[in-house]
Amino acid sequence: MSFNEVTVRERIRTALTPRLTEMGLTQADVGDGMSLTQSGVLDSFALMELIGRLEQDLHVELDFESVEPEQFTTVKGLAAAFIKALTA
Amino acid sequence: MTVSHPAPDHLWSYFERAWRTSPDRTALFVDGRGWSYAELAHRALGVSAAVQRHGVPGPFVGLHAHRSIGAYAGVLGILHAGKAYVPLNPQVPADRLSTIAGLADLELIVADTAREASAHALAARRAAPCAIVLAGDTVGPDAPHRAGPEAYMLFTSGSTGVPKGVPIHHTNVVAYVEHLLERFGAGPDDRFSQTFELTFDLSVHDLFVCWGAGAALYVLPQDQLMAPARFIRDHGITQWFSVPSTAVLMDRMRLLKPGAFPSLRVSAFCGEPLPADLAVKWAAAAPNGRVENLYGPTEATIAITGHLLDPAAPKARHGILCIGHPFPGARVRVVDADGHDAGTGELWLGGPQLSSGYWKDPDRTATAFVTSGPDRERYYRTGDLVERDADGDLYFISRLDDQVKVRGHRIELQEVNQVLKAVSGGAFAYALAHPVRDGIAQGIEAFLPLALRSEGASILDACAQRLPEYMVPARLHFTDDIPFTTSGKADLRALRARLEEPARTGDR
Repeated sequence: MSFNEVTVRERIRTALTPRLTEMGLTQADVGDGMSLTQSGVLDSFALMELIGRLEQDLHVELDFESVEPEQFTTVKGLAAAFIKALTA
Repeated sequence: MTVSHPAPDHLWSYFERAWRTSPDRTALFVDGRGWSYAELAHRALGVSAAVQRHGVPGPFVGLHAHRSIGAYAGVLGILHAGKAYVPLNPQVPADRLSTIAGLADLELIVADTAREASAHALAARRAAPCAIVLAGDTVGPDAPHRAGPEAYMLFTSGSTGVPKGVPIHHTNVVAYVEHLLERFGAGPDDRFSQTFELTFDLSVHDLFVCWGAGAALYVLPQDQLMAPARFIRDHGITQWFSVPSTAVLMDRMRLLKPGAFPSLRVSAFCGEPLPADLAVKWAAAAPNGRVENLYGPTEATIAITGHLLDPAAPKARHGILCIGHPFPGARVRVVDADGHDAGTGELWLGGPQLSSGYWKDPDRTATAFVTSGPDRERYYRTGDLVERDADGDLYFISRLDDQVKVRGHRIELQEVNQVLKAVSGGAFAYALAHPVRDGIAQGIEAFLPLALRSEGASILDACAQRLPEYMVPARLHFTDDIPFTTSGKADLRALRARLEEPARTGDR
Protein backbone atom coordinates (compact mmCIF):
# COMPACT_ATOMS: atom_id res chain seq x y z
CA MET A 1 0.00 0.00 0.00
CA SER A 2 1.31 3.42 -0.80
CA PHE A 3 1.13 6.35 1.55
CA ASN A 4 0.84 10.03 1.01
CA GLU A 5 0.76 12.97 3.40
CA VAL A 6 -3.05 12.73 3.77
CA THR A 7 -3.19 9.01 4.55
CA VAL A 8 -0.31 9.27 7.01
CA ARG A 9 -1.98 12.18 8.80
CA GLU A 10 -5.11 10.02 9.04
CA ARG A 11 -3.06 7.21 10.62
CA ILE A 12 -1.64 9.63 13.16
CA ARG A 13 -5.07 11.04 13.96
CA THR A 14 -6.52 7.54 14.37
CA ALA A 15 -3.71 6.68 16.78
CA LEU A 16 -4.45 9.87 18.73
CA THR A 17 -8.20 9.24 19.05
CA PRO A 18 -8.23 7.33 22.37
CA ARG A 19 -6.19 10.07 24.05
CA LEU A 20 -8.40 12.84 22.66
CA THR A 21 -11.53 11.05 23.88
CA GLU A 22 -9.94 10.75 27.32
CA MET A 23 -9.34 14.48 27.38
CA GLY A 24 -12.83 15.35 26.14
CA LEU A 25 -11.39 16.72 22.88
CA THR A 26 -12.34 16.07 19.27
CA GLN A 27 -10.13 15.87 16.19
CA ALA A 28 -11.25 19.41 15.33
CA ASP A 29 -9.54 20.69 18.50
CA VAL A 30 -6.14 19.55 17.27
CA GLY A 31 -4.76 21.54 14.35
CA ASP A 32 -2.20 19.94 12.05
CA GLY A 33 0.44 22.44 13.14
CA MET A 34 -0.34 22.44 16.88
CA SER A 35 2.35 21.12 19.24
CA LEU A 36 0.97 17.97 20.85
CA THR A 37 3.36 18.27 23.78
CA GLN A 38 3.14 21.99 24.53
CA SER A 39 -0.66 21.89 24.29
CA GLY A 40 -0.71 19.12 26.91
CA VAL A 41 -2.35 16.49 24.67
CA LEU A 42 0.65 14.20 25.15
CA ASP A 43 3.68 14.29 27.40
CA SER A 44 7.01 13.47 25.84
CA PHE A 45 6.87 9.78 26.85
CA ALA A 46 3.36 9.37 25.45
CA LEU A 47 4.49 11.02 22.21
CA MET A 48 7.35 8.52 21.92
CA GLU A 49 4.89 5.65 22.53
CA LEU A 50 2.72 7.01 19.74
CA ILE A 51 5.65 7.32 17.36
CA GLY A 52 6.77 3.79 18.27
CA ARG A 53 3.31 2.39 17.45
CA LEU A 54 3.22 4.25 14.13
CA GLU A 55 6.70 2.97 13.28
CA GLN A 56 5.50 -0.62 13.83
CA ASP A 57 2.33 0.06 11.90
CA LEU A 58 4.07 1.54 8.91
CA HIS A 59 7.12 -0.78 9.09
CA VAL A 60 9.56 2.10 9.05
CA GLU A 61 11.92 3.86 11.48
CA LEU A 62 12.12 7.63 11.70
CA ASP A 63 15.54 9.19 11.39
CA PHE A 64 15.55 11.41 14.47
CA GLU A 65 18.99 12.73 13.53
CA SER A 66 17.54 14.56 10.56
CA VAL A 67 14.18 15.63 12.01
CA GLU A 68 14.09 18.98 13.82
CA PRO A 69 12.89 18.26 17.37
CA GLU A 70 10.11 20.86 17.14
CA GLN A 71 8.87 19.15 13.96
CA PHE A 72 7.80 15.78 15.33
CA THR A 73 5.52 17.24 17.98
CA THR A 74 2.88 18.23 15.38
CA VAL A 75 0.64 16.03 13.24
CA LYS A 76 1.91 17.83 10.16
CA GLY A 77 5.58 17.52 11.02
CA LEU A 78 5.25 13.87 12.04
CA ALA A 79 3.47 13.03 8.81
CA ALA A 80 6.23 14.71 6.80
CA ALA A 81 8.89 12.80 8.75
CA PHE A 82 7.12 9.48 8.10
CA ILE A 83 6.71 10.27 4.40
CA LYS A 84 10.40 11.08 4.20
CA ALA A 85 11.28 7.79 5.90
CA LEU A 86 8.85 5.80 3.71
CA THR A 87 10.22 7.22 0.49
CA ALA A 88 13.89 7.08 1.51
CA MET B 1 48.30 24.52 37.34
CA THR B 2 44.96 25.18 38.94
CA VAL B 3 43.89 28.68 39.83
CA SER B 4 42.25 28.79 43.22
CA HIS B 5 39.97 31.55 44.35
CA PRO B 6 38.71 32.24 47.84
CA ALA B 7 35.10 31.09 48.22
CA PRO B 8 32.72 34.04 47.92
CA ASP B 9 29.90 34.60 50.39
CA HIS B 10 27.32 35.58 47.76
CA LEU B 11 26.33 34.08 44.38
CA TRP B 12 26.61 37.47 42.66
CA SER B 13 30.35 37.37 43.41
CA TYR B 14 30.81 34.31 41.13
CA PHE B 15 29.29 36.22 38.25
CA GLU B 16 31.12 39.44 39.07
CA ARG B 17 34.48 37.68 39.20
CA ALA B 18 34.04 36.37 35.65
CA TRP B 19 32.64 39.69 34.42
CA ARG B 20 35.65 41.66 35.76
CA THR B 21 38.14 39.07 34.45
CA SER B 22 36.75 38.64 30.94
CA PRO B 23 33.90 41.06 30.18
CA ASP B 24 33.81 40.18 26.47
CA ARG B 25 33.50 36.42 26.81
CA THR B 26 30.09 34.83 26.25
CA ALA B 27 28.14 34.39 29.48
CA LEU B 28 24.81 33.32 28.01
CA PHE B 29 23.28 32.04 24.79
CA VAL B 30 19.50 32.27 24.76
CA ASP B 31 16.79 32.80 22.13
CA GLY B 32 19.32 32.47 19.33
CA ARG B 33 21.85 35.07 20.46
CA GLY B 34 24.89 35.33 22.69
CA TRP B 35 25.36 37.80 25.56
CA SER B 36 28.79 38.73 26.86
CA TYR B 37 29.44 38.96 30.60
CA ALA B 38 29.43 42.77 30.28
CA GLU B 39 26.11 42.83 28.38
CA LEU B 40 24.42 40.47 30.82
CA ALA B 41 25.85 42.42 33.77
CA HIS B 42 24.33 45.66 32.50
CA ARG B 43 20.92 44.05 32.04
CA ALA B 44 21.20 42.57 35.56
CA LEU B 45 22.16 45.90 37.09
CA GLY B 46 19.13 47.45 35.39
CA VAL B 47 16.90 44.93 37.18
CA SER B 48 18.76 45.49 40.46
CA ALA B 49 18.28 49.26 40.28
CA ALA B 50 14.54 48.85 39.64
CA VAL B 51 14.16 46.31 42.45
CA GLN B 52 16.02 48.58 44.86
CA ARG B 53 13.85 51.56 43.87
CA HIS B 54 10.76 49.61 44.92
CA GLY B 55 12.34 48.91 48.30
CA VAL B 56 10.03 46.05 49.31
CA PRO B 57 10.55 44.99 52.92
CA GLY B 58 10.41 41.17 52.59
CA PRO B 59 13.31 38.96 51.52
CA PHE B 60 11.61 37.56 48.36
CA VAL B 61 10.92 38.85 44.86
CA GLY B 62 8.94 36.80 42.30
CA LEU B 63 10.48 35.94 38.92
CA HIS B 64 7.93 35.35 36.17
CA ALA B 65 10.12 34.61 33.16
CA HIS B 66 11.04 31.68 30.97
CA ARG B 67 14.18 30.87 28.95
CA SER B 68 14.74 34.51 27.99
CA ILE B 69 17.37 37.20 28.63
CA GLY B 70 14.91 38.60 31.19
CA ALA B 71 14.95 35.32 33.15
CA TYR B 72 18.74 35.33 33.59
CA ALA B 73 19.12 39.09 34.06
CA GLY B 74 16.23 38.71 36.53
CA VAL B 75 17.98 36.05 38.67
CA LEU B 76 21.21 38.07 38.77
CA GLY B 77 19.50 41.44 39.28
CA ILE B 78 17.34 40.20 42.17
CA LEU B 79 20.40 38.68 43.87
CA HIS B 80 22.47 41.84 43.28
CA ALA B 81 19.71 43.88 44.95
CA GLY B 82 20.07 41.73 48.08
CA LYS B 83 16.80 39.89 47.54
CA ALA B 84 16.05 36.20 46.93
CA TYR B 85 14.13 35.02 43.87
CA VAL B 86 11.00 32.89 43.88
CA PRO B 87 10.51 31.39 40.39
CA LEU B 88 6.94 31.75 39.10
CA ASN B 89 7.13 29.45 36.07
CA PRO B 90 4.71 30.62 33.35
CA GLN B 91 4.04 26.96 32.49
CA VAL B 92 2.43 26.42 35.90
CA PRO B 93 -1.32 27.17 36.21
CA ALA B 94 -2.17 30.70 37.40
CA ASP B 95 -4.00 29.36 40.47
CA ARG B 96 -0.89 27.66 41.75
CA LEU B 97 1.33 30.68 41.01
CA SER B 98 -1.13 32.82 42.92
CA THR B 99 -0.95 30.46 45.91
CA ILE B 100 2.86 30.61 45.83
CA ALA B 101 2.90 34.43 45.53
CA GLY B 102 0.68 34.55 48.62
CA LEU B 103 2.74 32.06 50.64
CA ALA B 104 5.95 34.00 49.86
CA ASP B 105 4.31 37.38 50.64
CA LEU B 106 5.48 38.73 47.29
CA GLU B 107 5.15 42.49 46.83
CA LEU B 108 7.27 42.68 43.70
CA ILE B 109 7.47 40.48 40.59
CA VAL B 110 10.21 40.68 37.98
CA ALA B 111 8.89 39.54 34.59
CA ASP B 112 10.33 39.17 31.12
CA THR B 113 8.71 41.26 28.40
CA ALA B 114 6.76 38.29 27.00
CA ARG B 115 5.05 37.78 30.40
CA GLU B 116 4.04 41.37 31.12
CA ALA B 117 0.30 40.66 30.87
CA SER B 118 0.31 37.47 32.95
CA ALA B 119 2.55 39.15 35.56
CA HIS B 120 0.00 41.95 35.95
CA ALA B 121 -2.81 39.40 36.19
CA LEU B 122 -0.86 37.59 38.90
CA ALA B 123 -0.18 40.83 40.80
CA ALA B 124 -3.87 41.79 40.60
CA ARG B 125 -4.78 38.59 42.44
CA ARG B 126 -2.53 39.43 45.39
CA ALA B 127 -4.32 40.66 48.51
CA ALA B 128 -1.41 43.05 49.20
CA PRO B 129 -0.13 45.58 46.62
CA CYS B 130 2.31 43.95 44.22
CA ALA B 131 4.46 45.85 41.69
CA ILE B 132 5.98 44.65 38.41
CA VAL B 133 9.49 45.19 37.05
CA LEU B 134 10.19 44.25 33.43
CA ALA B 135 13.56 42.55 33.01
CA GLY B 136 15.86 42.34 30.05
CA ASP B 137 15.26 45.71 28.42
CA THR B 138 16.73 48.07 30.95
CA VAL B 139 20.44 48.67 31.16
CA GLY B 140 21.60 49.57 34.62
CA PRO B 141 22.84 52.66 36.21
CA ASP B 142 25.30 51.33 38.75
CA ALA B 143 23.18 50.24 41.66
CA PRO B 144 25.05 49.36 44.85
CA HIS B 145 25.42 45.65 45.57
CA ARG B 146 23.42 44.59 48.59
CA ALA B 147 23.75 41.20 50.26
CA GLY B 148 20.82 39.35 51.82
CA PRO B 149 21.15 35.90 53.37
CA GLU B 150 18.58 34.07 51.18
CA ALA B 151 19.31 33.31 47.52
CA TYR B 152 16.08 31.67 46.40
CA MET B 153 12.99 29.88 47.61
CA LEU B 154 11.44 26.96 45.75
CA PHE B 155 8.07 25.38 46.37
CA THR B 156 7.72 21.61 46.41
CA SER B 157 4.63 19.46 46.47
CA GLY B 158 3.11 19.21 49.97
CA SER B 159 1.12 16.25 51.26
CA THR B 160 -1.58 18.49 52.80
CA GLY B 161 -2.36 19.97 49.38
CA VAL B 162 -0.42 23.19 50.01
CA PRO B 163 3.06 23.59 48.45
CA LYS B 164 6.00 23.91 50.88
CA GLY B 165 8.51 26.77 50.52
CA VAL B 166 12.17 25.80 50.89
CA PRO B 167 14.36 28.91 51.41
CA ILE B 168 18.02 28.42 50.49
CA HIS B 169 20.81 30.71 51.63
CA HIS B 170 23.85 31.88 49.65
CA THR B 171 26.09 29.96 52.06
CA ASN B 172 24.17 26.73 51.24
CA VAL B 173 24.75 27.19 47.50
CA VAL B 174 28.38 28.33 47.78
CA ALA B 175 29.21 25.08 49.63
CA TYR B 176 27.77 23.20 46.65
CA VAL B 177 29.31 25.33 43.88
CA GLU B 178 32.81 25.22 45.41
CA HIS B 179 32.77 21.41 45.38
CA LEU B 180 31.31 21.12 41.87
CA LEU B 181 33.78 23.58 40.30
CA GLU B 182 36.54 21.30 41.48
CA ARG B 183 34.79 17.96 40.94
CA PHE B 184 33.84 18.75 37.32
CA GLY B 185 37.08 20.67 36.60
CA ALA B 186 34.98 23.50 35.17
CA GLY B 187 36.81 26.35 33.41
CA PRO B 188 36.26 29.35 31.12
CA ASP B 189 36.31 27.25 27.94
CA ASP B 190 33.36 25.13 29.05
CA ARG B 191 29.92 25.38 27.48
CA PHE B 192 27.20 24.41 29.95
CA SER B 193 23.75 23.14 29.02
CA GLN B 194 20.74 24.75 30.66
CA THR B 195 17.92 22.21 30.58
CA PHE B 196 16.28 22.65 33.98
CA GLU B 197 13.37 24.97 34.76
CA LEU B 198 14.19 27.68 37.31
CA THR B 199 11.56 26.09 39.59
CA PHE B 200 13.90 23.10 39.84
CA ASP B 201 17.02 23.77 41.94
CA LEU B 202 19.23 21.83 39.53
CA SER B 203 19.03 25.00 37.38
CA VAL B 204 21.11 26.73 40.07
CA HIS B 205 23.93 24.31 39.21
CA ASP B 206 23.62 25.27 35.52
CA LEU B 207 23.80 29.02 36.23
CA PHE B 208 26.31 29.31 39.03
CA VAL B 209 28.73 26.45 38.42
CA CYS B 210 28.89 27.83 34.86
CA TRP B 211 29.38 31.48 35.79
CA GLY B 212 31.63 30.50 38.72
CA ALA B 213 33.92 28.92 36.11
CA GLY B 214 33.66 31.99 33.82
CA ALA B 215 32.05 29.70 31.21
CA ALA B 216 29.13 30.09 28.77
CA LEU B 217 25.57 28.96 29.53
CA TYR B 218 23.58 27.54 26.59
CA VAL B 219 19.83 27.61 27.21
CA LEU B 220 17.89 24.88 25.41
CA PRO B 221 14.76 26.19 23.70
CA GLN B 222 11.59 24.56 25.02
CA ASP B 223 10.95 22.61 21.82
CA GLN B 224 14.42 21.04 21.81
CA LEU B 225 14.40 19.70 25.38
CA MET B 226 12.89 16.42 24.25
CA ALA B 227 15.63 15.63 21.71
CA PRO B 228 18.67 17.81 22.37
CA ALA B 229 21.20 15.78 20.34
CA ARG B 230 21.58 18.39 17.64
CA PHE B 231 21.78 21.23 20.20
CA ILE B 232 24.68 19.46 21.95
CA ARG B 233 26.55 19.06 18.67
CA ASP B 234 25.74 22.46 17.13
CA HIS B 235 26.96 24.34 20.20
CA GLY B 236 29.80 22.03 21.20
CA ILE B 237 28.37 21.57 24.71
CA THR B 238 31.06 20.33 27.11
CA GLN B 239 29.08 20.08 30.38
CA TRP B 240 25.71 18.34 30.13
CA PHE B 241 23.21 18.17 33.03
CA SER B 242 19.66 16.82 32.80
CA VAL B 243 17.16 14.40 34.28
CA PRO B 244 17.67 10.76 33.22
CA SER B 245 14.27 10.92 31.44
CA THR B 246 15.89 13.05 28.75
CA ALA B 247 18.43 10.30 28.13
CA VAL B 248 15.63 7.69 28.07
CA LEU B 249 13.82 9.63 25.32
CA MET B 250 17.03 10.16 23.34
CA ASP B 251 17.73 6.44 23.58
CA ARG B 252 14.25 5.63 22.24
CA MET B 253 14.96 7.95 19.33
CA ARG B 254 18.18 6.00 18.67
CA LEU B 255 20.19 9.18 19.27
CA LEU B 256 22.68 7.63 21.73
CA LYS B 257 25.00 6.21 19.08
CA PRO B 258 28.61 5.47 20.05
CA GLY B 259 30.72 8.60 19.63
CA ALA B 260 27.69 10.83 18.95
CA PHE B 261 28.78 13.57 21.36
CA PRO B 262 32.57 13.97 21.23
CA SER B 263 32.45 17.49 22.77
CA LEU B 264 31.09 16.36 26.16
CA ARG B 265 33.67 16.32 28.97
CA VAL B 266 31.13 15.91 31.78
CA SER B 267 27.63 14.46 31.60
CA ALA B 268 25.71 14.65 34.86
CA PHE B 269 22.27 13.32 35.72
CA CYS B 270 20.09 14.03 38.73
CA GLY B 271 16.46 14.19 39.80
CA GLU B 272 15.39 10.56 39.40
CA PRO B 273 16.89 7.06 39.38
CA LEU B 274 19.50 6.56 36.63
CA PRO B 275 19.30 3.11 34.97
CA ALA B 276 22.85 1.65 34.84
CA ASP B 277 22.57 0.39 31.25
CA LEU B 278 21.41 3.82 30.10
CA ALA B 279 24.39 5.46 31.84
CA VAL B 280 26.75 3.03 30.10
CA LYS B 281 25.12 3.76 26.74
CA TRP B 282 25.49 7.51 27.35
CA ALA B 283 29.16 7.01 28.27
CA ALA B 284 29.73 5.33 24.88
CA ALA B 285 27.93 8.19 23.11
CA ALA B 286 30.16 10.70 24.94
CA PRO B 287 33.51 8.85 24.81
CA ASN B 288 35.68 11.84 25.74
CA GLY B 289 33.95 12.55 29.00
CA ARG B 290 32.79 11.17 32.32
CA VAL B 291 29.27 10.35 33.49
CA GLU B 292 28.24 11.42 37.00
CA ASN B 293 25.10 10.45 38.88
CA LEU B 294 24.13 13.11 41.46
CA TYR B 295 21.51 12.86 44.21
CA GLY B 296 19.94 15.35 46.58
CA PRO B 297 16.67 16.89 47.74
CA THR B 298 15.82 20.62 47.46
CA GLU B 299 16.11 20.85 51.28
CA ALA B 300 19.83 20.01 51.04
CA THR B 301 20.56 22.31 48.05
CA ILE B 302 20.80 20.90 44.53
CA ALA B 303 22.73 17.65 45.14
CA ILE B 304 24.71 16.26 48.03
CA THR B 305 26.02 12.86 46.92
CA GLY B 306 27.61 11.79 43.66
CA HIS B 307 28.98 8.78 41.84
CA LEU B 308 31.40 8.67 38.93
CA LEU B 309 30.35 5.89 36.54
CA ASP B 310 32.82 3.16 35.67
CA PRO B 311 31.32 2.05 32.33
CA ALA B 312 33.23 -1.25 32.49
CA ALA B 313 31.82 -2.12 35.91
CA PRO B 314 28.79 0.00 36.84
CA LYS B 315 27.80 -0.20 40.52
CA ALA B 316 24.06 -0.78 40.61
CA ARG B 317 21.21 -2.41 42.54
CA HIS B 318 18.20 -3.71 40.61
CA GLY B 319 19.59 -2.03 37.50
CA ILE B 320 19.69 1.45 39.10
CA LEU B 321 23.09 3.16 39.35
CA CYS B 322 24.38 3.93 42.83
CA ILE B 323 24.26 7.51 44.12
CA GLY B 324 27.75 7.30 45.58
CA HIS B 325 29.38 9.18 48.43
CA PRO B 326 28.38 12.39 50.22
CA PHE B 327 30.18 15.55 49.07
CA PRO B 328 33.00 16.85 51.32
CA GLY B 329 31.53 18.55 54.39
CA ALA B 330 28.16 16.82 54.02
CA ARG B 331 27.04 14.46 56.77
CA VAL B 332 24.90 11.42 56.14
CA ARG B 333 23.30 8.87 58.38
CA VAL B 334 21.42 5.74 57.35
CA VAL B 335 18.87 5.24 60.10
CA ASP B 336 16.62 2.25 60.78
CA ALA B 337 13.06 2.38 62.16
CA ASP B 338 14.38 2.39 65.75
CA GLY B 339 16.60 5.42 65.10
CA HIS B 340 19.86 3.44 64.99
CA ASP B 341 22.55 3.67 62.33
CA ALA B 342 22.15 0.75 59.96
CA GLY B 343 23.20 -0.63 56.58
CA THR B 344 19.72 -0.09 55.17
CA GLY B 345 17.33 2.63 56.30
CA GLU B 346 16.19 6.21 55.85
CA LEU B 347 18.81 8.64 54.54
CA TRP B 348 19.42 11.62 56.82
CA LEU B 349 21.44 14.57 55.54
CA GLY B 350 23.37 17.27 57.39
CA GLY B 351 26.09 19.86 56.81
CA PRO B 352 26.50 23.26 55.19
CA GLN B 353 24.02 22.67 52.35
CA LEU B 354 21.07 22.15 54.70
CA SER B 355 18.11 24.58 54.46
CA SER B 356 16.97 26.39 57.59
CA GLY B 357 13.56 24.68 57.20
CA TYR B 358 10.19 25.25 55.55
CA TRP B 359 9.05 28.84 55.12
CA LYS B 360 6.66 29.87 57.90
CA ASP B 361 5.89 26.24 58.72
CA PRO B 362 7.39 25.30 62.09
CA ASP B 363 5.36 22.07 62.34
CA ARG B 364 6.55 20.53 59.12
CA THR B 365 10.05 21.87 59.78
CA ALA B 366 10.13 20.15 63.19
CA THR B 367 9.01 16.86 61.63
CA ALA B 368 11.52 16.84 58.78
CA PHE B 369 14.54 18.58 60.37
CA VAL B 370 15.80 16.91 63.53
CA THR B 371 18.76 17.33 65.83
CA SER B 372 20.05 13.96 66.89
CA GLY B 373 22.80 11.41 66.95
CA PRO B 374 25.91 11.34 69.10
CA ASP B 375 27.15 14.54 67.38
CA ARG B 376 23.92 16.52 68.10
CA GLU B 377 24.01 17.55 64.44
CA ARG B 378 21.01 18.95 62.55
CA TYR B 379 19.68 16.52 59.93
CA TYR B 380 17.04 16.53 57.22
CA ARG B 381 15.08 13.29 57.05
CA THR B 382 14.79 12.63 53.30
CA GLY B 383 12.10 9.94 53.39
CA ASP B 384 14.32 8.02 50.96
CA LEU B 385 15.11 4.40 51.78
CA VAL B 386 18.76 3.69 50.95
CA GLU B 387 21.35 0.97 51.34
CA ARG B 388 25.05 1.56 52.06
CA ASP B 389 27.61 -0.96 50.82
CA ALA B 390 31.03 -1.89 52.24
CA ASP B 391 32.69 0.90 50.18
CA GLY B 392 30.36 3.48 51.72
CA ASP B 393 28.48 3.91 48.44
CA LEU B 394 24.77 4.66 48.76
CA TYR B 395 21.96 3.09 46.72
CA PHE B 396 18.49 4.58 46.47
CA ILE B 397 15.90 1.83 46.97
CA SER B 398 12.49 3.51 47.27
CA ARG B 399 10.48 6.17 49.05
CA LEU B 400 9.22 5.55 52.57
CA ASP B 401 6.04 7.57 51.91
CA ASP B 402 3.69 8.61 49.12
CA GLN B 403 6.14 10.86 47.32
CA VAL B 404 6.93 9.93 43.72
CA LYS B 405 8.99 11.51 40.97
CA VAL B 406 7.80 12.12 37.45
CA ARG B 407 10.44 13.39 35.06
CA GLY B 408 12.41 14.61 38.06
CA HIS B 409 9.54 16.52 39.66
CA ARG B 410 8.69 15.69 43.26
CA ILE B 411 5.03 14.84 43.68
CA GLU B 412 3.20 14.10 46.92
CA LEU B 413 0.43 11.74 45.84
CA GLN B 414 -1.63 13.06 48.75
CA GLU B 415 -1.61 16.49 47.11
CA VAL B 416 -2.94 15.00 43.85
CA ASN B 417 -5.59 13.10 45.85
CA GLN B 418 -6.69 16.27 47.65
CA VAL B 419 -7.13 18.15 44.38
CA LEU B 420 -8.93 15.22 42.74
CA LYS B 421 -11.39 15.02 45.64
CA ALA B 422 -11.92 18.78 45.66
CA VAL B 423 -12.63 19.10 41.94
CA SER B 424 -14.69 15.90 41.60
CA GLY B 425 -16.59 15.96 44.88
CA GLY B 426 -15.83 12.23 45.06
CA ALA B 427 -15.55 10.38 48.37
CA PHE B 428 -12.08 9.09 47.58
CA ALA B 429 -9.19 9.48 45.19
CA TYR B 430 -6.13 7.25 45.01
CA ALA B 431 -3.32 8.41 42.74
CA LEU B 432 -0.24 6.38 41.99
CA ALA B 433 2.77 6.60 39.70
CA HIS B 434 2.25 4.53 36.55
CA PRO B 435 3.75 3.27 34.36
CA VAL B 436 7.16 2.80 35.98
CA ARG B 437 9.81 1.61 33.54
CA ASP B 438 13.42 0.89 34.57
CA GLY B 439 12.71 2.58 37.91
CA ILE B 440 11.52 5.81 36.23
CA ALA B 441 7.88 6.84 36.69
CA GLN B 442 6.36 8.19 33.51
CA GLY B 443 3.12 9.64 34.83
CA ILE B 444 0.29 9.60 37.35
CA GLU B 445 -2.93 7.56 37.16
CA ALA B 446 -5.76 7.69 39.68
CA PHE B 447 -8.78 5.74 40.94
CA LEU B 448 -12.10 7.54 41.56
CA PRO B 449 -15.66 6.43 42.48
CA LEU B 450 -17.63 4.72 39.69
CA ALA B 451 -20.42 7.32 39.88
CA LEU B 452 -18.01 9.90 38.38
CA ARG B 453 -17.21 7.86 35.29
CA SER B 454 -18.94 10.22 32.84
CA GLU B 455 -17.07 13.25 34.22
CA GLY B 456 -13.51 12.15 33.53
CA ALA B 457 -12.71 14.83 30.96
CA SER B 458 -14.01 17.70 33.09
CA ILE B 459 -12.20 16.37 36.19
CA LEU B 460 -8.92 16.26 34.27
CA ASP B 461 -9.59 19.73 32.91
CA ALA B 462 -10.20 21.09 36.43
CA CYS B 463 -6.99 19.41 37.66
CA ALA B 464 -5.04 21.10 34.85
CA GLN B 465 -6.27 24.47 36.14
CA ARG B 466 -4.82 23.78 39.57
CA LEU B 467 -1.83 21.51 39.17
CA PRO B 468 1.34 21.68 37.09
CA GLU B 469 1.19 19.48 34.01
CA TYR B 470 3.40 16.74 35.52
CA MET B 471 0.97 16.31 38.47
CA VAL B 472 -2.20 15.96 36.36
CA PRO B 473 -3.20 12.27 36.03
CA ALA B 474 -2.70 10.88 32.53
CA ARG B 475 -5.60 8.49 33.09
CA LEU B 476 -8.51 8.04 35.49
CA HIS B 477 -10.01 4.71 36.50
CA PHE B 478 -13.52 4.52 37.94
CA THR B 479 -14.43 1.80 40.39
CA ASP B 480 -16.09 1.30 43.76
CA ASP B 481 -14.08 -1.83 44.34
CA ILE B 482 -11.05 -0.52 46.27
CA PRO B 483 -8.91 -3.17 48.00
CA PHE B 484 -7.77 -2.36 51.55
CA THR B 485 -4.81 -3.57 53.57
CA THR B 486 -5.25 -5.09 57.00
CA SER B 487 -4.43 -1.71 58.53
CA GLY B 488 -7.40 -0.18 56.73
CA LYS B 489 -5.46 1.81 54.13
CA ALA B 490 -6.13 1.56 50.41
CA ASP B 491 -3.92 -1.21 49.05
CA LEU B 492 -1.94 0.71 46.44
CA ARG B 493 0.03 -2.39 45.54
CA ALA B 494 -3.17 -4.21 44.59
CA LEU B 495 -4.41 -1.16 42.68
CA ARG B 496 -1.11 -1.02 40.83
CA ALA B 497 -1.45 -4.70 39.94
CA ARG B 498 -4.77 -3.89 38.26
CA LEU B 499 -3.06 -1.33 36.07
CA GLU B 500 -0.67 -4.02 34.88
CA GLU B 501 -3.63 -6.12 33.65
CA PRO B 502 -5.05 -5.68 30.16
CA ALA B 503 -7.77 -3.04 29.73
CA ARG B 504 -10.60 -3.31 32.26
CA THR B 505 -14.08 -2.00 31.91
CA GLY B 506 -14.81 1.21 33.74
CA ASP B 507 -11.58 2.84 32.63
CA ARG B 508 -11.33 5.91 30.52
